[in-house]
Amino acid sequence: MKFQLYIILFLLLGTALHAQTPDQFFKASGTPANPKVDVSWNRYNTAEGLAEIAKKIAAAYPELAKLSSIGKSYQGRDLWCLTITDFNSGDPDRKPGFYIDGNIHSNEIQGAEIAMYTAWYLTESFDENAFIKDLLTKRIFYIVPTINPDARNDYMQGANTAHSPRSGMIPIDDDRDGEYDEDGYEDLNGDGHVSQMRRKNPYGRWIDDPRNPGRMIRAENDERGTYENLGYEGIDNDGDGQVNEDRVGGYYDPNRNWGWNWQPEYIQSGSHQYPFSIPEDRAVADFIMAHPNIAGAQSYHNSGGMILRGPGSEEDERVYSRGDIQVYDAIGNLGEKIIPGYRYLVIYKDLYSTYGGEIEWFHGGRGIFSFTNELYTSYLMYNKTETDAQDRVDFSKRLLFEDDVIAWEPYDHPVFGPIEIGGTKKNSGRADPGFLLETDAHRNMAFTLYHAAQMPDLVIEEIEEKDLGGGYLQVTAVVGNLAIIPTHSDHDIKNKITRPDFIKLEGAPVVSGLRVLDRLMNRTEEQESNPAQISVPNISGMDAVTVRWIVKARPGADYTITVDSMKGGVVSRSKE
Amino acid sequence: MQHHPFLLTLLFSAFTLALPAQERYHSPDELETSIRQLERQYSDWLEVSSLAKTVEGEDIWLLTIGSGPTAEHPALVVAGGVDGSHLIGTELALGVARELLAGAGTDSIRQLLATTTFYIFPQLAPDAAKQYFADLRYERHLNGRATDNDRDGYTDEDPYEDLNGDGMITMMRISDPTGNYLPHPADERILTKAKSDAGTSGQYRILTEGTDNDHDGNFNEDGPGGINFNENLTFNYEPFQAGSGEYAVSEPESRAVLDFLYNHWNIFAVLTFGPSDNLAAPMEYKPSNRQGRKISGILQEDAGVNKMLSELYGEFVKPPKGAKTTTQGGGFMEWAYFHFGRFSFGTPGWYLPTWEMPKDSTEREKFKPNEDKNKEVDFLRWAEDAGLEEAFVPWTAVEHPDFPGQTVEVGGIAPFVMTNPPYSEVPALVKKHTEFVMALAKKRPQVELVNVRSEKVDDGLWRVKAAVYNSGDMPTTSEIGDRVKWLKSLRIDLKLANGQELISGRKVTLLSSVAGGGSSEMSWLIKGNGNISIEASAPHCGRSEESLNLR
Repeated sequence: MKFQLYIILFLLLGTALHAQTPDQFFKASGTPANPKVDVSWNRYNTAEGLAEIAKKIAAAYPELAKLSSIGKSYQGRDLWCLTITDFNSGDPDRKPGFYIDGNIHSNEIQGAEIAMYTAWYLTESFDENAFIKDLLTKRIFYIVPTINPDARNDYMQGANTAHSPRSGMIPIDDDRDGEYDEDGYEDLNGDGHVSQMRRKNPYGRWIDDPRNPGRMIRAENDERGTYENLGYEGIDNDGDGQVNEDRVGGYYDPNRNWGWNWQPEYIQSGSHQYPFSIPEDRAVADFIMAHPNIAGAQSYHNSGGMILRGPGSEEDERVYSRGDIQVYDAIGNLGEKIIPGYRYLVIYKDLYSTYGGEIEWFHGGRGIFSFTNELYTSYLMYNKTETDAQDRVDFSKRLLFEDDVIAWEPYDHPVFGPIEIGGTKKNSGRADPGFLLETDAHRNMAFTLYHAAQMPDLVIEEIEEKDLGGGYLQVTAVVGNLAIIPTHSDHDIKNKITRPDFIKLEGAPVVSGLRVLDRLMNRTEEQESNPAQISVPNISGMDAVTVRWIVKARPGADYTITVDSMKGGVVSRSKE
Repeated sequence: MQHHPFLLTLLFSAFTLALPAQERYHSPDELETSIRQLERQYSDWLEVSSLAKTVEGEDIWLLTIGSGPTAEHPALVVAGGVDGSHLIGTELALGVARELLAGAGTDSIRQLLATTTFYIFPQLAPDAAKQYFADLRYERHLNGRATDNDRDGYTDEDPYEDLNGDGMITMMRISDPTGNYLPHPADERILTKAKSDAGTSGQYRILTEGTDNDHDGNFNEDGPGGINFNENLTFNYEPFQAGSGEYAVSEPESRAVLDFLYNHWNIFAVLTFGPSDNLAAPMEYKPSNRQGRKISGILQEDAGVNKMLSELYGEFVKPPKGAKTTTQGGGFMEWAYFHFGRFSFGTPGWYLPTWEMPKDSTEREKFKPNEDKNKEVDFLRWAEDAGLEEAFVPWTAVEHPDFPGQTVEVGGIAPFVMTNPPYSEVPALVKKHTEFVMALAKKRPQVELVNVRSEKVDDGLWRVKAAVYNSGDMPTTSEIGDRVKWLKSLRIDLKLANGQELISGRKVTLLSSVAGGGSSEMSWLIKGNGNISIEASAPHCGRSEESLNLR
């Protein structure tokens, strides 16, 4: 009661503070024009900021969104999950599920915003868009915007570059000297970014770029330099003669700690101790194990404009059968069209070999069709594939007005003496610039929603009765899948990861159950035990299976046929 | 007062005799009672903790044995019961703990416990081990998690059934001309595979005792449980096998044990009493053990250490000739070496005795020749000599619902007897293995600073030298340990007095490994007089500190 009052107050207050009223808007196609939850999609949010948006969405749409914590991070933050579906239709827990997360690498921040944009878009569009309504009627989304909230905040608020930290916040003794994270970066000039240090030195190999003042380039081979590059901002904290050599969180990699082909440190750097020894990964794994209805998944990283599928290593080629790859190709190739500048690639072939990756576990360990998108690409600067260093300088100048640049300023360094600090801010290079963030979010979401729509969509297409005489009725049912993704990947069938689909007849006594292998030629295979509930190993995409029962009943008898598929959901049809 | 070790041993033996002697394997409940009793009796040397509860609520016990700051002393892990059917492993681990504690008053053991810590896990698969003591006895390997072993969508739906009512699960033989088995020529109780090329044809099908509850054509393929602890760890882990789980280290007990071990940097080696064996015959190095970054077999330096320990084991326990190295995917012993990076040794602790034909010719005639050296035939002959009762359950006909009109007999070698010795052999095995454990512990790496000296270079300028010496027989770090993050480097710290300055050399030096009996020479150039100290340490090879006054 109190809570409802709070919501009403909140909404009233929200309206009152709004400078504009709905009659002042004209809808742009494809975007909610008058959302209940106002979010700016051109900036980034801390872990707490994300939690706040998630709470608002759940409060504004109680019939569509529920907020829960799937576990705690190393430092004790909640890993917030928005569960989104039409809770008023069907059994939500049995709908085919789609899992989305972002930010597994802490400096790859925009995945969280893109995941959150998806949650926001689905809830705000449900009432006004038939496609979204149908999607939320048939599917359930589990959206965990950040699975690395600790280090996300450290990236944003701590002394970091665009590339740090990549891991979480568990201290690791990288140099095995018995001390942990004892020599990290310092933001010496206090501008909120760790940038470069340089020192005037005639034997340095760097000079000021004559075309782009403030930018350093390498001197020609026979040219004397002006500057020595001293690396990222910092000091020698532990007095061991090295600067910044044992930094926070380094090095373990939350995306090498998953339970498929996990390998130790000497094979896979950063894999940590054993599958799911990292608490954030364990929370996700427990969640996935507890939700066997999840049939599709998407993980958001940055950067480079890639739609990646497994395998992560060559030896796992066998894990991706030709049939499974056809499914991936159908979705991935469309993705290249939906997100211009993004390329659909295979991790081990086109990127590098990895073991113990998240989406490889989804596919290999759980039979879930999954992609990783590497968000943002230099393509988006000028919508062209080939870009060079000068393009980047120009983009900064003409479109960002050098908001991403830190001008060189003198600094008196305790070890290096008089130096200069400057370069680029940590929000440049990997994270989408503000004006591109919403575009990138929408296109990536559209790709993911297509994937979600292609999860198994089961229907009982036909029920045929034939009177066999002597009180026996032959009932034949055709169960179809109207989407691309099968109820079981080939890898799943081979390893029996997900239990078979059950097709059961209830309401009439069943004496025999048959899988129909060829209906025209009347080729069948009997299931001797439990004939009322026929197990079928799979219902392929855009295909159908046929089953048959011999029932002790007369024509016109009442009974119900139910398809019960772990990843395909539950569908019933009654014959009355 | 100087204790006489022999007298003490004698006194102690008298004391143990006074206690009711254990006459059978410890059930998990009896194990707890024994552990609690040790805890009361030897609180100065023993700390007991439970690291986790299994799905069935059984404790994973850890016995920490040592004196003083045990976490700061190099430690040996002794693990038993990694497989639920390997009961002897639990007896050996518990027995070693008891012997060490009982002898803690003697000089040799007291000194050992003052410098070396023992982390003893007597039972890592308690859920499964309980089956030996249950109303229905069978060799179980799986913990209590309800799993769908045959992955047909139904959980635990096809267990064993005790058809002959003897409280044990053995085998069934079904008279069937399509079967592949026939009685062994040397002992017709034993069934052996027919060989069509030798002109023999089968008479029996053999299956485990029970019915096909779910009528899927497979017998007893999905009974209670679960996950096998010793198939659930990360080295050569195979997913989706019955017992291996959905992913490696999936169980509360496996996670708790690994978390404990990863948090104890002082562990220098792991000894496992279980199915895996690299003590009867050591793991051998082959260049193909390393392919790129992958390591599939023991590394060269470590193979030397394994060989040394295997020879040491042979001095105390005499494994039968021809015993082979045995390893297992997902196993604990294998994990401890390949992924934990520690020296890791394994032995079943008891080997199936060999049986020799009597020399006497009239005696010989009683036995038909066992031409293919069938192990079961030899085992039954040994069992009879050893007076082992109930080693064999005679074949008895039963009515079987799945084979109407066919002759079905239940019988065969009783469960457990081929992998676990008669209990009467346990005390002697415990004694031998305790001696081995102590000898192993004495071979551990120990860092010592020796030959610490100074040379005056000029007024107020000193050259200081020292050798970092490993007085143990094992290297300070295994070759593989240097490739994982989970062992500390050997660290040498130089501490200067106020006003002194280091001109050359490092304040902190990290060494990867020093061979057994080997050393590494250090040198520093220091300006200024005063006291300096040098410390060499690593959690798993101890600590040594030396001071010098430069003046």
